[in-house]
Amino acid sequence: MFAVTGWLGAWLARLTVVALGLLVLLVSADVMVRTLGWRPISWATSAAEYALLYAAFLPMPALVRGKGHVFVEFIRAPMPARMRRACEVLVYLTCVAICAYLAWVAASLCIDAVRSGRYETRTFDMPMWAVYLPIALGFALSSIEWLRFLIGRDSLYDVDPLKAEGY
Amino acid sequence: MTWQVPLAVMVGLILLSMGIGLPVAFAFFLTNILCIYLYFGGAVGVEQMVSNFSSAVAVYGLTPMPLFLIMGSLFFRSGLADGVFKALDLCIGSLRARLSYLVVLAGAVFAALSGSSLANTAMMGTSMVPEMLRRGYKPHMAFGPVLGAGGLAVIIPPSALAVLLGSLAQIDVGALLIAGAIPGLLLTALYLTLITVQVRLDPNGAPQYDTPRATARAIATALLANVVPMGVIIFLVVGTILLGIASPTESAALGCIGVVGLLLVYRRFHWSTIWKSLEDAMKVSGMTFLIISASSTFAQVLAFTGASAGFINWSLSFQFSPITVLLIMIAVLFVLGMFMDQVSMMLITLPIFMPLSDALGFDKVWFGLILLIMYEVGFTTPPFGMLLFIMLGIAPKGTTLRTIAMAALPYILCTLLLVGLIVAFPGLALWLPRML
Repeated sequence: MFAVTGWLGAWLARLTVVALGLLVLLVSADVMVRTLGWRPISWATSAAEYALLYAAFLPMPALVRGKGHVFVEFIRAPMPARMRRACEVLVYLTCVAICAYLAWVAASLCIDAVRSGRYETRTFDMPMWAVYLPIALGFALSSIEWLRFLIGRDSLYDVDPLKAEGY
Repeated sequence: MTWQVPLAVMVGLILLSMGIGLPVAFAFFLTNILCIYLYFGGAVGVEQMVSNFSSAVAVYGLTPMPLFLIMGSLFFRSGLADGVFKALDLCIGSLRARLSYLVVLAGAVFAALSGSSLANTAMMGTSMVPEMLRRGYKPHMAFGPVLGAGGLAVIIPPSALAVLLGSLAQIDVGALLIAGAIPGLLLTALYLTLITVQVRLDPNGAPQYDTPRATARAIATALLANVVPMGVIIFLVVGTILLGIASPTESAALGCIGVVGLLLVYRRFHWSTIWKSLEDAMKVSGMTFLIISASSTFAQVLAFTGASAGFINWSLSFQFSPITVLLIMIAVLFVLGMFMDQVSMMLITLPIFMPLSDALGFDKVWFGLILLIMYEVGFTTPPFGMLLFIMLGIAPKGTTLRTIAMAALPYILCTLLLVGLIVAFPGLALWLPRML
């Protein structure tokens, strides 16, 4: 199961990378056409905004697996080893519960939006299900990734900040 | 229900959950869910929170953030930064502590091309610290300048953190970015002065050694080839905002295109570099935007329970002078910076600090810049300053966090001096934005 969700999470992250690349091209093209006095790309602003929404939730599971979500541990750090481990388990349990709950809420909203056919109106009409879908997907897969930490040997806190920066 | 209870519950919960190691975004989610059940109507409130994610992050004003990150990453990943280093290296000659000066000067140039302190510190640290230590530099002369110069990226435009602060605190992002230019240069000058003083006090801290003397022609060629083209990028990003030609989003896109143009000219364009840079931006944006989506509800619950208004009225009831309140806020940020990352500090303090600042009649851009500088200080304050840990990863085995923190201390003091100067002379921050 974890291999499949890991693969899926990695593809969602790649999709976000492509979305960010398109965001650069879109904003640049919009600037260019306006500078040249041509008609601005009317849908560019809203498309850029939705790209940011997708950029927030699609890479979420890959960032959980890659330990990319920032944390501080000023209470946990000075604890003895056994208490630190207990805290770690508590953190994983909490994250599984939060993600599963929010995935369920977002999925319910998504299904409701499909049924009602609602739209969010900005410079173009965005189906509401497309707004909730990345949220539901992100939380659902993240809950499985947190479960992987809970029952596996990998630790969220075993991370080198320099490597995280890619050096 | 008095305002003190929800305030204590919310701040207590967020600090406790963060402190035990819950990732920041999830600490906000947990606090929100519990407080929504306590004060906000339960499951319906949680549905509302999820519905609000879109309005929290799908905001055009946040677009420059990933774009600045892409731009900075392209600059570092492609090796363009190495050329700047080499050119500045030729200019400095065989001065005592030359590598410390070089790091600060290069840090200022990199800060004008990249929006990320972490990337700046990691890049300069990995390339310079081993060489400095090999040359016999003492730890404070090697680690200190890298830590100080790394933080310049927060102040000198373009700054990803400034975009975030501007968007969240509803400060004009363009004005806030530009406001950092003069203080950023002033801080660079303070750092250079600090190195001069340190090396006077302890000449053995940075041994002098002979370097091949470069001819004026070689220096001019290196500067023309490696530094002047970067000026074009700086103009595309900062100049276009200052001249009112482009908005921060547009200038960020122009900056990205400009760097890609330079990669083509320097024949450093590789699809792998582009992909890697987009991936870097994806990681930081994904993490930050998730925290923003989580924290927007935090601010709403804080306001709904009356905690924000209650705290602000209580603070104002003491009738402290505005400057005293400002000093208290600076002290709070200094303490929070020891334990928290910058985005968390921002999201916890803004719902309280911004209304307080408005009530006291502070200029938003001026106050925003002071906040930004204090967030930067938090990067290097022990025990949890992020840059300290980056440096610990670069430093030779056996180096303690204390050694690195002590090296950072004079640079922190310089930054606090800068805050003092901006408080005393607001024009330092406001002169350029007023020209917009």
